[in-house]
Amino acid sequence: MTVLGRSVQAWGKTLLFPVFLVVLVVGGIAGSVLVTRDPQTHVHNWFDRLMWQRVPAPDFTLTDYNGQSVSLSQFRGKVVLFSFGFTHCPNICPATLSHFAAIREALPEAMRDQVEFLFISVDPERDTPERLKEYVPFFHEDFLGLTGTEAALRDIVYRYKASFVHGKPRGGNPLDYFVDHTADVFLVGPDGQWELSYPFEELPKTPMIVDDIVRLLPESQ
Amino acid sequence: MKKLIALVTMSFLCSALADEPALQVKGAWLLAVPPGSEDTAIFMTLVNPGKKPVRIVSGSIAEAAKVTPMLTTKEAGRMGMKDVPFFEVPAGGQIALRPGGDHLMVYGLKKTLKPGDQVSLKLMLQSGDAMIVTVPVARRSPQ
Repeated sequence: MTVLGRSVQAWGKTLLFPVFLVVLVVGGIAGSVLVTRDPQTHVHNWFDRLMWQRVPAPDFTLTDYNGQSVSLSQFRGKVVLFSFGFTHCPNICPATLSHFAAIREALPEAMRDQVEFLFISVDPERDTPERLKEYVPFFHEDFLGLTGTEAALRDIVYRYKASFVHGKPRGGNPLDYFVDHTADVFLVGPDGQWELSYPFEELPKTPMIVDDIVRLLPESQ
Repeated sequence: MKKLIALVTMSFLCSALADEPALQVKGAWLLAVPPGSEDTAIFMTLVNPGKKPVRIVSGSIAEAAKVTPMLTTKEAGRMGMKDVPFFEVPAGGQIALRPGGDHLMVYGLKKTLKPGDQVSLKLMLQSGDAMIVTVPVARRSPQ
């Protein structure tokens, strides 16, 4: 078959390089536009961009283990990592708090005080401030334990698309029950944006989480 | 007399062979929990080199009221726990009990166990046999 007096194969050989160049240049421009479209989002660097959401973090006010009223918004300027749990939890919650400790330890020393770690008990009946004070600082003295009324806690978990359910008392003891709860860890940036949630299973990936935190702190920009 | 000694030795050997543990335990550890906590968990990898599945029905340590097999569940995004009557280690296979997953739940700690402590865990098998495992106390997986 011929086109304009030349065979298709001959045209192919002539056009191959120019077409390749055009694809390269157009692709390069499109790629750089996508990456630099909004430098604030640095979305391509996130631990898992599918989880990236960046919406204003719903504020909440709870009572800490010293009996002080604490609001999320008062940590503006810091990165906040928090999770829901209960101190009678023998497995998930200690594991989460151990991961918090590992994350804190892996942060550059100058940044450690710019990250707040919160453990929110969704079991206010058993987790009194005294109990939380005994439990939470065991993992690190700077970690804060919070709780509140059941109504306040229900409202908070709802707004973070999380949940908890108290199980039936076991063996006839009304104070012996499990609490099923969302085990994700929530990341709030210094500007009060809820950046993303880490599924519990991903918490052992300390370096990647540290990388996310460092990226959010002003010193790194 | 020599015959008798040989016979006794033989019988000792035989019983030693019969008592060879049905399971191999690797990397066992007990999670250190804060003072005042009564519940914790024991983790390990259980390997079954045999040709039959082996079931663990319970455990016991002197420092706690009871030790039972516990599954970790995930339902509607919530993590929770569920009692099970046994853990089954498949023939020629293994199961891993690890933080955030299935574990041996320890109820009613009678004292605070600190990292560096050790407990002697007795694992009860469905066959009626028991195994003794020395379990170090640690904050994180020793591996």
